Amino acid sequence: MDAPSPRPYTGHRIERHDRLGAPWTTSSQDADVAGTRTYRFNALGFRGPDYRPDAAFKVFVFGESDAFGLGVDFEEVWTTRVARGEAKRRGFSPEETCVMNFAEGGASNASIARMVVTQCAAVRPDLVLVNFAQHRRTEAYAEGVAFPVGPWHDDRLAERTVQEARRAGGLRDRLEDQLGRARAFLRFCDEEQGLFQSARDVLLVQSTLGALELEGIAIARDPERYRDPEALSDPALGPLLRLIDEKFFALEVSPLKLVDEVDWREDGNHVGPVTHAAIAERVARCLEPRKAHRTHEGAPMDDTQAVAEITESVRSFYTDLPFNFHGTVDAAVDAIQRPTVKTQYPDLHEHLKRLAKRRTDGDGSLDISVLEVGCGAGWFSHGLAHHYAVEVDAIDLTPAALERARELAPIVGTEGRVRFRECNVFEFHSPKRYDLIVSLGVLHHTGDARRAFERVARHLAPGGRIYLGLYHGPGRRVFLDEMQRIANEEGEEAAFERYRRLDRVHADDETLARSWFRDQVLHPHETQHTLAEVCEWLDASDLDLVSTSINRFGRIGERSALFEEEQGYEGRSRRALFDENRYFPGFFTVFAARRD
Amino acid sequence: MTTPRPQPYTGHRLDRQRRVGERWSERPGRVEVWRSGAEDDVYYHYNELGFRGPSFHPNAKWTAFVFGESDAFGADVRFDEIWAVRAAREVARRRGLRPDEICIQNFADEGASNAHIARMVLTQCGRVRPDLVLVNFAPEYRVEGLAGGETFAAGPWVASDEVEKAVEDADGDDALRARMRERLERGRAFLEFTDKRQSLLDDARDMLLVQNTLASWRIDAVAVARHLKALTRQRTTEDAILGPLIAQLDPRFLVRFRPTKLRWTNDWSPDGLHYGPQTHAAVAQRVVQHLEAHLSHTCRPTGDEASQRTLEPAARYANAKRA
Repeated sequence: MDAPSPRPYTGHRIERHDRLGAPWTTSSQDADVAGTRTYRFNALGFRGPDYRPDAAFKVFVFGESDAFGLGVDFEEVWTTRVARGEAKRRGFSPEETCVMNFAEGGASNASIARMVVTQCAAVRPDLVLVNFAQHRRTEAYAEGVAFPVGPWHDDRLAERTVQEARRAGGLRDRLEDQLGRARAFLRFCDEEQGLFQSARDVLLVQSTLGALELEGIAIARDPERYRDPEALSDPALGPLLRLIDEKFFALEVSPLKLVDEVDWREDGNHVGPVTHAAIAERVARCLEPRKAHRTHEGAPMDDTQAVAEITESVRSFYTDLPFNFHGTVDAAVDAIQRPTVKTQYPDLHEHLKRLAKRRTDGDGSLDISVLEVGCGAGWFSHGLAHHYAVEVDAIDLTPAALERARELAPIVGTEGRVRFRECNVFEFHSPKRYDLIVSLGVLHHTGDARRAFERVARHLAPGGRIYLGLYHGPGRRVFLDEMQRIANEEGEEAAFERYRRLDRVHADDETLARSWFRDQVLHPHETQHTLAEVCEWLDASDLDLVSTSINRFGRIGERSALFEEEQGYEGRSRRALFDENRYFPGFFTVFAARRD
Repeated sequence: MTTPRPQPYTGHRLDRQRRVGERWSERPGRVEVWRSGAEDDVYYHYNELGFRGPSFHPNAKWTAFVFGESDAFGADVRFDEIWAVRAAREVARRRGLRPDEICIQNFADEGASNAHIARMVLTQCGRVRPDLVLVNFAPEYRVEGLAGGETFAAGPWVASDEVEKAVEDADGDDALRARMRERLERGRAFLEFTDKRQSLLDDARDMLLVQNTLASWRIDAVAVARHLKALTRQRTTEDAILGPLIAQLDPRFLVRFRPTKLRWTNDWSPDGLHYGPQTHAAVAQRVVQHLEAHLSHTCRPTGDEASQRTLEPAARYANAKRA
């Protein structure tokens, strides 16, 4: 029995149909008429070397002219570069690798989806790379040929082509029919409709790879369109866009923003080798932490509504009284100036010290960028800027907390080095990559801690670190159950008094103590986690565990030993609360570094 | 934690959009004509989310979602007579569930296109994972348009003079008429663009989107299509473009029988487009039989790894669910 082979070319280019069965080359293609490049087509009618059924590592490429590589040599195309790099990383030699490029200039997302479905059904590749097309294109079907339709059909060139064909005879009728239909499509499909249709095509590719359990990653020239706030809030379009799995479709990659100056080709519409190399480098970086986008879990659930309701309730809760809120500005300033990081988070302190030393030993111009997610009234962000001279971007949901945070900056002397922004973690996006991301006691109040983690972890710079503080499942329950028991049996004030006796650190300032009590005991929403669970998050985001409070910031050896130690966390909590009358809210920290 | 619930109606019917949040009923005027002696026989009762049928029941032990066009909506038949509702109830009964333990949500809409049906399947199952999905795919030449954040349905009917007149005579202000006019023009442009083969190409993609999404989510599903013949005729399956795409439609998902073949004599509504309760019952019976066979198939042992590598998605669909 013959080994399965991809299907031959079924696009609209007559020369590619006519020459099926044997490789051939040409020096011009579509808008590239410079004649300086070589386009080699294989026996199946696609660009690149022939298909090799015995290759150990098969990569299939789908897309439009950027994936086809118009204006650049085959080895320079971003898709080829990524395929070669991935093969090398996985231990395959070039001889063991087969890159099949099914892309075509002018392709629509409809045709890309058709190609993915049919080619991946014929042969299962090991990796799929997709470059989605711009909107307002489609694939039209006429007389056994699928031809691309797009905005170019509205220009005079298209008209002239038909006129020339009319003079020459032959193809006239077909071209006239195609032009008429293309223009009708463009009257039907405006930009909004284009995105509506593209979303479905993207999801068809995503779900097909999911159903086939294939690894894949996709990019597009205009990823911003897929997370445009107006589109996301549209009741028909928004829910579709939210089903796009960003582990598959790397919306954070904006191909045209990766280089200072895009090296446009002669036609002014296609990018050159420098930009292709930058895209390849960026995609490779995205691909590694994605750990094989095995989409068999399908698209993420659209729990936007539930999460939005939680977000609103949390915002409202903190609007009444933000967390860690001092009675006076002076008290807040005093707290910032105390070396709390050193005493409470020694592992983080050591890391910041090392970074500071590197800066001192270097040229002094090394900026250390930090992101704090859920900064509240700014205590931690200001503290980092004050003690370690770092630059901090800080986000939080609650305007009331941010107001206090901003008020403190000129007093503490961190103005200009700490920037506060009102933002929901699920909507956070920044082109910036951070050396350190901190989120203490925040993600467990978001409604989906894992998704929130994945969203922020994406913003780590190469070699960057993330510091998390979360409620611990068994460790937390002891404290929470006891507090809720008192609140139910004796009332909220009795619970507050018990809390104050335990938490001696915040007890003297009535406002501060209440803000802590509310946060720790009365919160409208929290989830609880374990180190074992968070280690899964780390693995999925390609992060290594560096230290944790579970073993009191000790050496990290075998994970199984840590998980075993974690079993004792409930006992530690019980002893602290009942035997030692000590505050132990069941909080644990995790410090992790990006693998690079 | 808030209990997930389906998304409210976002289809093309303004009355259903405007009344989301309340329960209401309408009695289509034409039904009493063909249902002899039963003038007030059929009502369409809408739930708070804007869909036909009872309210969503978040605590139900078993949930079935129905998607489709007028056949699944149940044009001119009672809710309990709709083939998909009958089939879902029967499947639940065979699983030992009482009627009060199950929830059937009917998201179907008259005049829906396969694009709309696919959108509904994705977004509703993306919010709440049902135990069973029943789909009635729409015929060719239809599309769902989006204009200014509102959807509209376009199909062969937009070419008719009646629609033209309806736009001219529409109650409301000039702005509304202008909006309707723009949608009509866009709908007509779509009809100018599409033809039989184009329509099949677009349909195949939407049907695969439904199939592959449900497969990747491991949701049991079955679908019927009135235009099955057009999809499966030799000329189509041998076509270089359409054939390989349509081959990916799993016969376990898309049932290979045509509902119209089961039509009882004279069991049509007066518009000549929709079939009656006897035909719905016959379709339900066939679907249940298919589901039984399908479910028993999923209990078979999986193939070896070598055969898995060469399986077409059609077969993978079943294998994914088996896993």
